[in-house]
Parts: sequence; C-alpha cells; structure tokens
Amino acid sequence: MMDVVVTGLVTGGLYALIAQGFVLTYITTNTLNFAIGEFMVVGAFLAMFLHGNVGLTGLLAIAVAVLVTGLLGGLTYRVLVLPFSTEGKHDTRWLLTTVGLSFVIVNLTTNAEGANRQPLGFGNVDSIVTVLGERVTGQQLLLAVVAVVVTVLLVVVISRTRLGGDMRAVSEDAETTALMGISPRRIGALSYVVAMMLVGLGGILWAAQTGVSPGLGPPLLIAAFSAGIIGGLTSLWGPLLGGAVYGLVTAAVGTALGSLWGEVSGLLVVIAVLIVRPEGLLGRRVEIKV
Amino acid sequence: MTLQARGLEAGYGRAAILSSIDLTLEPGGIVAVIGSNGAGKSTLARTLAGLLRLKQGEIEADGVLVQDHSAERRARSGLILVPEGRRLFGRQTVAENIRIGGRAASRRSPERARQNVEMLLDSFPVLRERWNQKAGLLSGGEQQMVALTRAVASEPRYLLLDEPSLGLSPRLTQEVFRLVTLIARETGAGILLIEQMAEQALQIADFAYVLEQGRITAEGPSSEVGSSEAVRTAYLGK
Amino acid sequence: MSARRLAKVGALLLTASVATACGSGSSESSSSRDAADSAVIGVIGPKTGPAPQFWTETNRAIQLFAPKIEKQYGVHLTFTYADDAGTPAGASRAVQTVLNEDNVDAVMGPPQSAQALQVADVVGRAQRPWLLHSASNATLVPTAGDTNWAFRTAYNSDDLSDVSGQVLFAPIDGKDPVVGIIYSADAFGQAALETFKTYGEQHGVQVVGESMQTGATDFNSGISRLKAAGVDSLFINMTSGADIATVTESMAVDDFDPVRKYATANVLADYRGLASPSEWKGLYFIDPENFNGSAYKAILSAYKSRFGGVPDLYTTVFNTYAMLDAYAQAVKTAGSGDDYSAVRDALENLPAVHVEDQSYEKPFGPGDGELDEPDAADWYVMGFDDTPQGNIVTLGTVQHCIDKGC
Ligand SMILES: Nc1ncnc2c1ncn2[C@@H]1O[C@H](COP(=O)(O)OP(=O)(O)OP(=O)(O)O)[C@@H](O)[C@H]1O
Ligand SMILES: [Mg+2]
Repeated sequence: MMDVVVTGLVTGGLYALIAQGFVLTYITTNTLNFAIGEFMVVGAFLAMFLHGNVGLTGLLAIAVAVLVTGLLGGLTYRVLVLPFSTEGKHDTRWLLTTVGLSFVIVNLTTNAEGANRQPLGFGNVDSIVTVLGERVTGQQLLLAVVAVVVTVLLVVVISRTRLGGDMRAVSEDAETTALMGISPRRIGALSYVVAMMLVGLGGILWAAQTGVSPGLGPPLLIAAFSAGIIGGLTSLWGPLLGGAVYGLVTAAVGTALGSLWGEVSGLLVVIAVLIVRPEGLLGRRVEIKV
Repeated sequence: MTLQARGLEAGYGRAAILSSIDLTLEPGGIVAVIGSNGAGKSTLARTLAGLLRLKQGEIEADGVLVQDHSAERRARSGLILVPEGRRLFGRQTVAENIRIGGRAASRRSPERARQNVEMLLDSFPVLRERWNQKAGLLSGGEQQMVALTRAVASEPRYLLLDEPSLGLSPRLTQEVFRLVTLIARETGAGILLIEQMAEQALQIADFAYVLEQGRITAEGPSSEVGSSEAVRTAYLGK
Repeated sequence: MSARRLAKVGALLLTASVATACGSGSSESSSSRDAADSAVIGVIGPKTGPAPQFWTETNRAIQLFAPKIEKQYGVHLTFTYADDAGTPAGASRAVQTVLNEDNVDAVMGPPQSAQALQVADVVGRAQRPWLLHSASNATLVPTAGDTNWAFRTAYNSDDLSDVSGQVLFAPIDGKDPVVGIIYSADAFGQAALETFKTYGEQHGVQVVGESMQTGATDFNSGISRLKAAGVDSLFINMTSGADIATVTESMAVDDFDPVRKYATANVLADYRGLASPSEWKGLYFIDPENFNGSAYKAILSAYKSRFGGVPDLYTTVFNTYAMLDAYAQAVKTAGSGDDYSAVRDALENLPAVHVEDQSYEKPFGPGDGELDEPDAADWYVMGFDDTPQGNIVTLGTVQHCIDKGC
C-alpha cells in the first residue's frame, strides 16, 4: 500500500514539472506550446552535445542547455505564437503553428540523430533510494524534489515580486496591463522562456535516466497534460496536485489491475475532472457575466 | 505642448468607424467628447491610447508622432487611458492596482505621481479603508475612484477618460467629476472627458467636441456647444 | 476564459498529445536491366519514421555484402529503394512504386511485420519472389502459402515463441515455474501472450501476463504484480531496448530478481547504454545464431571496419546477408531474375545457403519458406558480461540451458 503511495507521488513529480511548462504560459498568454515534448528533446540533445562534444562539465552543460532551450521558447513565442494569437481569445492559430513546430523538431532530430534512444551519459543519480521505507530510483526522487522546489519558487516570485505582479496583471487583463506601461508581449515571452527552461530541465533529467531520443516527449505528454488538466491550467499549484493525483491513481489502479488499466484510469480521472470541474481542481472558477 | 489627432480614421476589421477626426488637447485643460451610444467614443479613446491601430492620420503628443507606438509605450510617455468599464485588476487589491498604475510613471516622475495619489486619496478617503481589499469586491463608485487614482499614479500628461460616469448614480457622477476637475488642476494633465452625460461634462470642460456616427459634427468652447440648438435637443433632452 | 473553453483546451491537449506524424513513401534510384544472370530487387524500408534503423541496417548489409555475393555467383544485382515511412500506408505506396515504376524482379522487405502485411497481397498478385529478411510475425506474414512466394531468413515469431517457451517453461529445481511475460500493448504483444497462455495450458504451467505501453516512464506497478504472483521465470517481450531498460530498472527498484529472465534479441539495441551491469546480470536472450560464432565475427568485423561500431540490429544484417546469398544463387540457377517462377523454384530447391563459413543445408523447400527451424539444439542463449559496455557472451545452446541450466 505504502509503496503505491510513494511511487505514485514520486512519478507524479516528473509530470508536474513538465505540466508547469504549459500552465505558466497558459496563465500569462492563454496559449501553450504544443511542441513541449519536443522541447524536452531539444534540451536533452543540447545537454548531450554540450557535454559529449563541447566538453562542458555535466552541471554546466545542463545549465547552458536549459538556458538555450528557454531562449528557443521565447523565440517560439515571438515567431509562432504571438503573431497567431492576435485576434482575441477565439484565435487559436497558435495551436496549429506549435503542433507544426513539434513535427518539424521530431523530423529534424530524427534525421540528425536517428530514432534510437541514446544514453545521455551524465546527470543520472544512478542509485535506488529509500523513501518512507519504499524503494524509488534516485532520479525520480530528484525530479520530484525539483518539481516541488520549482513550484514553490514560482509561487513566491509570482506572489511577492513586482515581476510577479505584472504577470498576474497580464493573466487577468493583458490589454489593461498594456495601459499601465507594461508590455504583455514581454511578459509572455518571459513566461515562455521560463516555461521552456523548466521543460528543458525536466527533459534532461528524465533523459539522464532513460536516454535521449526524438520520441522522448510523447509518452510523457499524456501524463503531463493530464496532470495539468486535473490540477487546473490556471493555478501554479495545479501541476503539483494534478501530478500527485495522476501518479497515485495510475500507480494504485496499475498495481491492482495491470499497468494499462493504470493509464486508462488516469485518463478517466481527467475526463471526470473535465466534466465536473473543467477549470481543474485548483483552477479559477469563472464567474459567468451577464 | 499638445496632444493632436489629425485626420484619424480607425475601426475594426475592414469597416471604418471613425473618419476625419481632428482633435486637440492641451495640458491642464478639460476637453469633452460627447456622443450617443455607438457614436465611436470608445473607438476614439482606444485609438488614441494605442489599443487600436489607426488606418489613416496622425497622432502627435508633444511634438512626437506616436501613432506607431505600442499602447505600453504611449502609457510610459504619459498618454494614459482609463478604459470604459474601468477594467480594474479585480483579483488584486486596491493597493496593488494603484501600485501597478505607477509602473507607467516609473521612468518619468514617480515621486510627483505618489504625491498626486496621496492628494487624491485625501480627497476620497474611503479608498484608504479599502486599501487591502480585492478591487473586484468594491462598489462601482469606489472602483471608479480606484481607476482614477491608478491613472494618476501613472503621472498622466494626457488623460483619456472613457465614460467615467458609466453605471454611477447622479450623486456619484458629481463626485467623479469633482475629482476630474481636481486632477486637471493639480496634475496639470490635459483631460479628454468622453461622456454621454453631456450636461455635467460640458459644465466642467473648457472645450467640447460632438461625435456622431464616427465624425465630429460640432466643436467649440463648451458653453457654445452646450447652447447650440442641435446639441440641446440631441443630448441634453431640452 | 470560460470553463467551457478550458474544457475544450483540455480535450485538445489530449487529442494532440496522442496524434502522430505520418511520412510518405518515395522511391529512389532507378534500375538498369539487361543481361542474363541479372535481377532487380526492390528494397522497401522505413527510411523515415520511428524505426529508421531497419532501413539503415538493411542498406548497409547490401552495400557490404552484395558485391561479394555477386562476384561469388557471377550474377548482377541491382537495388532500388523505396521508403515506407514506417507506416502501413507508406508501405502500400512504396510497393506500388517498386512494382509499377521500377518493375522489380523481387521485393525485399518491408522489415517490419505490420508494413509487410500491408504489401503481402500486392506482392502475391504480382507473383514475384518476396524476400523477408526481417519481418518475423508468422501469423501476419506467413511464408510458402499459395498466395505468395515468400522466403524468410529471419527467424519467425512462432519459432521464437516455441523455443523461448521450451526454455522458459522448463522446470526450476524440479518444479514447474510460474512464467511471467511482459508484452507490449499492441497486436504483436497480444499474440505473444496468447502463445504463452496456450503453451502454459498445454503444459499445466501458470502464466502471468503484464502489458506495457511502449515508452512508459516506469513499470513499477507491473513489476509489483509479477512479483506478487510469484513469477520465477520471466520473459520481457518488448521490441525496444529502451523499454527493456525501463523494465529492468523497475525490477531493480522493486528488488525483483526471478531465477530466469529472458528478453527478445532487441535487447541488443540501445539497452546497454541505458541500463547498468547490475541490471543485466542474469538477463539472457536467444537467437538462432551464435553472435560469438565465426560467421558473426566475420560479419561484425567487416561491418565495423566499414561503418565504425556495431550494428543496431545484428540480426537484420546477418539475415540480409543470408537472403542475398539465397537469391543470388536462385537467379544464377534460373538464368535471369525476370523469370520469376523459375527463381522461386530455384529458391525452393537450393542445396544450401552460406553465410561466411556457415551453411544451411536444404534451407527451403516446396511448402517451406523458413530458413530457421524451432529446434532448441540449433538456437543459442546469450547474455552480457559485467563490463560497462556489456560484451555479448554465449552461454550455450538453448538445449544445453534447458538440460543443465545457464
Ligand atoms: N470590437 C469591435 N468590433 C467591431 N465593431 C465594434 C467593436 N467595438 C465597437 N464596435 C462598433 O463600433 C461602433 C462604435 O462603437 P464604440 O464602442 O466606439 O461606441 P461608443 O460611442 O463608445 O458607444 P457607448 O456609448 O455605447 O460606449 C459601434 O457601431 C460598435 O458596434
Ligand atoms: Mg463606449
């Protein structure tokens, strides 16, 4: 029983970290990067390249790769999201452009590196740790800890700093924020940078355990999107709660009925949330204006 | 030192709502724009503030052509809009709303802006009591006061007010107009007062434009405009 | 944003996240045909798509061995290639291209069974020899039927299950084992499970199956279930080495170490880079060839000096070689590649196929399109040593491991 709780929560950490990557941009820009799985791939390949070919130390390679992935995220916002979300909330062309980007990245990385998983070669806490008497891999525990730390940091920044105030303002009413002399586009770009940095970090740490391949993202995406939707796309705590719920449910049902049922049950939870509380468990309930 | 619009044409999509608008606003003065529902008043305000791109014409603020500047850039240079319906950040507190208004002044004269905010708060002290409440929970009148204070925190040189009396009782409307006069006097900002409440607006304005179907159909010192036959029947119900 | 909109975005997220890209088939290089003793082979494979290694290895094997085989038998082989993009639709297009535009004398591939199934009818109707150097699913892609002229040098999945079954179901310490199988959540995995279940019923041995999603982040829940069921003889029937690594990782986490653990030969690709020696200790795989045998040694060293490194798919390289050898001989016997039925008859009556110093006597026959036979004495059990790179070690034949334990 305890093992299910521990594994569930710990695997939820990875999902939460990735989910944070689209919750953050959804909050400030009402858009999200559908190429998020491929940004994990980009981060991981960059780190592999910087370590293996450029010779940076592991930590430095991770730092640089995370930063570059973040900047690519900002560029994506500027080039593929912003120009395609100008017509108000019903303008969802950004959805197509980012999905398109994900195909492009998959093709590019597959052509350049092949589809096989390659070992990242560093950054893996290659040990098994005991948490509350239960064994988990060191890497998954690390990911869970990173997810919690990142969430707390984001929440502190957003609720306590001036930049955070700007972000909250943009999230509530971007147009009026512009009237205050604050550029919603800059805030949006910044959110994309930070979000893709998180995604890149998640991708690298995950790849350190399982290897890098152009197909790294998709298997995680369903879980991460589910975590985001369960927790609520408009709450920074959402991914953490959603990740925990998704991790717990899939682990519990998986252990009871088989792992395929585990995944199915996770999706059932998503559907239930979408029906009963479409804004997610922690999402902001929307007042209906008459 | 003026805000000038010359030959403005603007609208949504293909259709032009405004055409051939010429308008001048000077620091310290109050200029009224009156017009009925759908005349294009908000469209004018949004175009001047940079939320809507114009199709033709020029906007010049203190000698600088600003029509290609973004809304945030215009705000930072002191061209401030209080939009229709106030548009407070309802999930943030009164204090946070006013603080964020200060962002537009931060590169010019934040200190003076702070003094002006204090002045306004002294004149409408109930806001101090509401200081840490969520703005979304305030009454309509209080919200309008917060919106004005937020605008003053931006240290406006030109302040565009889009129907500040919207949804307010006659008494509160009086109160708002009293503050508008105060702001013009104390901050030296030029105020463009866009209103349907023509009578009160004309009372505090020096100059007035009448906007009908996207065009300026009359203009002049407000006393003249207010006494013209056409305006009296159309807007003053007399 | 409204609650509805949120719900819509949510639903979109889910659909988009399961959507996948599709590639398209295309044909490259053209053929020249003329003289006697010559033939054109249309090679179909996933140049693009999720498993380009099948394409790469097939190609490399052809580059590496075709010239030598042509010389040896005095035939002239021309190859024309078409991309199936790793999708059934791509395979359909590719086979049309090689048959209609290139008018090939024989079709080689596609290397993956799902794609091979897709072209089976077309190749059958065209009445060309069909060279299966990789597609292994005997149910989807049978050989030597009335409908097609297929010959397979890869082992077939039924034989693999049969031989795996013999070793996995063998008693442990004189008692029947509890057999566990981890299978992928698709038709192939399902088929493997069925085979095991049937085998278990026939021999009165308990079989526990756990399915796994390809690319899953972990397999902890599956492992706890296998452990709880008391499995002591485990078969990891996943087709990607990375997935096998995920399984052994979860086994380490769960401290699950059954007496007997086998994986498919796919454990050769990717697996060792992603796992550690402690995780592959005692993990074996079986193959009809001994990878440390002299034929393999020769092939691998030729491969290494030409391409640097070892192949991702050992067996594809080996089986392509065997296929080229068989087909070249048949063309020689028939006199020309475009006498299709003569080539088929020649294939059926080949006295032997040679791969380096290894021979397969009477490999095919009328009604027999399979090179390998499910005889435990002919198959080998292999594993990895405890060095970080995990060199392949041969433990003996399957029969030896059944009799004496490995
Ligand atoms: N976003 C929009 N898209 C298209 N047309 C619009 C839009 N906003 C306003 N309009 C149209 O432009 C015209 C002018 O509208 P505007 O809001 O400027 O009028 P107004 O004078 O401010 O009216 P009110 O007194 O009701 O606020 C109207 O016909 C209106 O329907
Ligand atoms: Mg209006």
